Amino acid sequence: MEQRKKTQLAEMDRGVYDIKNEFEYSYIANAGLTEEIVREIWANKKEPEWMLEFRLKSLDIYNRMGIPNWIPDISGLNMENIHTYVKPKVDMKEDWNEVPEDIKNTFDRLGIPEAEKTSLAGVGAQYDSEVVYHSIQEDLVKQGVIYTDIETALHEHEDIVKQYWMTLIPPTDHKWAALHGAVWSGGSFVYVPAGVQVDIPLQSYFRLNAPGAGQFEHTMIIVEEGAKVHFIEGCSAPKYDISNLHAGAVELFVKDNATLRYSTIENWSKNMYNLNTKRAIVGKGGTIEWVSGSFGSRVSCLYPMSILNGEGAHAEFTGVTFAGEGQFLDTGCKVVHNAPYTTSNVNSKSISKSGGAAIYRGLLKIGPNAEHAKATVSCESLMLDEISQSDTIPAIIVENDNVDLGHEAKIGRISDEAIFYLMTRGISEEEARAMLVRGFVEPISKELPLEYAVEMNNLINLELEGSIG
Amino acid sequence: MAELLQIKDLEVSVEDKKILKGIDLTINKGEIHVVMGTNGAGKSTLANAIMGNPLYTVDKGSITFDGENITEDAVNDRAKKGIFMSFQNPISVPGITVENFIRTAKSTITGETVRALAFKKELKQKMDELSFDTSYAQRYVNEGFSGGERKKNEILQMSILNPKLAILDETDSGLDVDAVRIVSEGVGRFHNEDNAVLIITHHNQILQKLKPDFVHVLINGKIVKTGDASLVREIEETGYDAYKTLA
Amino acid sequence: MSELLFNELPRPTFRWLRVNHTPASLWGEAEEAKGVIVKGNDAIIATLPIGTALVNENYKGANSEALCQLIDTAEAYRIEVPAQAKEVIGIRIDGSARIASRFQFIIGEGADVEVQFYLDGESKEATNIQYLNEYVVNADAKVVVKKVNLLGSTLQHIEHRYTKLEERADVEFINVEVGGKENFLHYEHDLQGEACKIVHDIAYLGNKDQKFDISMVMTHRGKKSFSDIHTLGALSDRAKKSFRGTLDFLRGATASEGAEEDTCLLLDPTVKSISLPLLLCKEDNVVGNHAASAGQIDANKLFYLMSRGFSEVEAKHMIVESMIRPIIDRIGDEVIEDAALTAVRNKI
Repeated sequence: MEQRKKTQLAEMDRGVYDIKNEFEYSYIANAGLTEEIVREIWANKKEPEWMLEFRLKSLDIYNRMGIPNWIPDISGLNMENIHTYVKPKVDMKEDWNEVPEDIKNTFDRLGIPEAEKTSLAGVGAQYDSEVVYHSIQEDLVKQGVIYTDIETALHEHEDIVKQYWMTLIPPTDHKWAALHGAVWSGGSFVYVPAGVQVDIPLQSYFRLNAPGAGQFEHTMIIVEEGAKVHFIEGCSAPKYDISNLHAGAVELFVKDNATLRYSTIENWSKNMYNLNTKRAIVGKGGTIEWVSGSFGSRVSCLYPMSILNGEGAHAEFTGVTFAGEGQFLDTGCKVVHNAPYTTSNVNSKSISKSGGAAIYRGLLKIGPNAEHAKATVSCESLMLDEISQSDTIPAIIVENDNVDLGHEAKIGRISDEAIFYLMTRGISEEEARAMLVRGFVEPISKELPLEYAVEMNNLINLELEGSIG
Repeated sequence: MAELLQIKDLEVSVEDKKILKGIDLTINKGEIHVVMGTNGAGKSTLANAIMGNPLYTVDKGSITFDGENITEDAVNDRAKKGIFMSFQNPISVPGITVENFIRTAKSTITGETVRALAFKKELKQKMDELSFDTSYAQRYVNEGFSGGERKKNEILQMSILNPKLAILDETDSGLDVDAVRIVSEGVGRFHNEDNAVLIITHHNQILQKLKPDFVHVLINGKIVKTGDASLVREIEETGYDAYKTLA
Repeated sequence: MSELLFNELPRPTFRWLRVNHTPASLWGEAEEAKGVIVKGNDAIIATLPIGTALVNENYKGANSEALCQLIDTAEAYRIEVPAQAKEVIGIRIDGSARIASRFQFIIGEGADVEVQFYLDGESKEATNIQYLNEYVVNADAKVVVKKVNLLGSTLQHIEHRYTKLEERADVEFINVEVGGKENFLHYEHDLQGEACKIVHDIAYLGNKDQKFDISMVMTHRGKKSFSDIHTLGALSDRAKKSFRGTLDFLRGATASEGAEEDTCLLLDPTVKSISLPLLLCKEDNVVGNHAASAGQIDANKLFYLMSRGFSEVEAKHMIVESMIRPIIDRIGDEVIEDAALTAVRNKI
């Protein structure tokens, strides 16, 4: 088993993800970032006055902030070349048939509205900077559930949006949070009233088609007391020669005894700089569950954060990161225990191959008030060859004595013993490897809705084809 | 009787240490063979060499299976040709369920798509026969299994993959009386005129239910004596000391 | 000197956590430094000229500025153990005044060396005890370094240690850290040779406002190299521990194995424990594991002991002592073991 095959495809065919449409738009902001551009975006989107103020303040913060010293190399990203706002040539539709043919075909190929008919309570589809389609089941509307694009929410539910707007991720948080505050557009808004249980998932799909564009969608989800919802987001973009930037913000407000599950499969193209921020604050007895698959992008910095602020709040993070050739994926999660009897489980898996780098970066903080907190972290890294890189950089901070904390990490490769065992059952070496990789990520794929689990398996097969077979 | 396996003058080493020092062994269809011997005599090495474990280097000799020289064949090709080995210490495979694992193996070996429903039915039946809790079908392969459950899982795989030659490497070791009975009954059900079984053991418990046609005594890398079932009793009474001088 | 940054993390992380390094200034710097006592075979102990370059010039120590100053001013020893020789060296550091010292150990092939560091004493005014120890462990040599720190509470204690391991070198480091007010321990171990092996165990016990700031880097370069870090200890009152442990597998370190484990027992609500167990890997054929745990005394253990008639306080003492005891027992010198054990009992 010594001589492993290492044929590599320079440019892997990513199938439907790489089909690009002709680039059409109704409005495009000039490349670069100036006050004029920010004002133009604001004017174009006919937003309230306070948002202009907010955008300009954020721009100012962006200009004054430095780039953190610990993140991967992002010198390939030049803001001068990024179009921060690309309005597609269509307004938002509530009837799928009215969505223009080429955009519709894109989402059809990705299986988006098809899934809606069978297994989703609501669907949103964003194309470049704006949401082009949104729908939600009638009975949910009757129960007071709001699921719409964030622009509509800003007009129709301005008081709610304003109350929560970037309170969890303030523009001062870091440079790209500031950038987001200045040029954000698109994204979803979900409001689930107290006690309402949304049993089937809501889904948003983000597709970036325009070359050299930035995507800065803002997702805001408010789950009131005792309510429950599952939100799924999918992201993809075709490959262009110039760099794209994604600096979204996801703010999740999980109130007392509420439950929110947030699932993501991210498959941005390999020229994307994915500098995304996601954060949840959880009240008494509430639960946030993150399921996160990171496959695409050239560079990713993504660490969904859970702030457990109410007694007995719980956070669950299940994540997989797969870094292939030319990718530097710095991902992980942060959990902050701020109240007694809070609990958290983190389960992270990463795979690196063909020179890719997969970094787990995490934080587990148990504050002075979080007595009786319980936390477990498990990180496993799989290296598929000797030219790749896999690092684990966890920080564990404990500030009171009444805690129960365990952290474990391992790094290694697929054991020859396991391959041999599978091969004695007739399975070829290539298939044995693929099976073991799939088995490695199984704890994550079983948490995903079926069509996403299938998508994840396809992505893994695509990735493995590059080096095996 | 049709010849199934023929081993000629086989020498095998592990990490440059010579373990097997010239083995000749012929197994025909319909036969049950037993290899007995002391610890470290090379019993597991023989099993692994027939299966094609890359950690075991064949220095000399040949292995012919069903008329074909397989000495250089990859392990999965040998499996496809109909050789099966029940492991002494089966490893766990996290993330892959028993059902998925065996089904994948079955369709790879047969080269045909295995239909889900029919397979589920067969799996349940075989598991029942082995008194194997059917909920284990959805558990990850050997993950958290006891020693006995792992061995049952090996025999389950054997009965579904239906090989021509089943090699049982110390399948009875570490099992309690009931488990040995269940496992040997499973082997008994599997065995017929068209296949053969090679049992490697240093106990005789498993042999109470299975009647071997040939018993080989392996000492220090060589088969020093071959006899019929009565040899088992003989060894039981006198031990291996008498054979050591033959090596 | 103004504020310095100690024990910098080899790969920084989120800045707002303020864990990438620990800021501190040097205590009692104006004072003149006193010497230490080095006991052993005189034939192998020599002075090392002040300002002699480091064994590894890239070694930065707990803080590079402090280390440079130390090299330029401190009295220094060179202890060269010939090949195949067997030696025991004892170093006594008396903390009644400021100490600045340096020890360079060159261990010949196949030699067998034991080094004992014993630190105790207390100064009137706050001051610092600072020393550098370097080890070049040549092929097949075996080194054991046992260190017992029972320094008084007026002292800032800074240790810089660098080790280079050649083929099949076998190194065992044992630390019992009980004393000192502010402790910065910086260990960098370079596993260069094939099949070299190092085990580094640290037991610590902190109370009042004590600080233990430990940094350890294991760099695996050689094939089949092996490393194992184990830190365990207990904190009470307002004591604080930071552990920055890094296992770094470089490309080419095939079939290497590394493990680190950080276990911290928390005895009061006001303690603080920080753990940064990094695992960096550029080689697929390795086994790397790390584990960290923190928590209270196991309630079942406590219940068991109390059911045998011990009071809660007595039971807690027994549990803390029984945790640290195995490391103390490895010191192998009865007098020092007793002193360490007494210090442990006085603290809990």
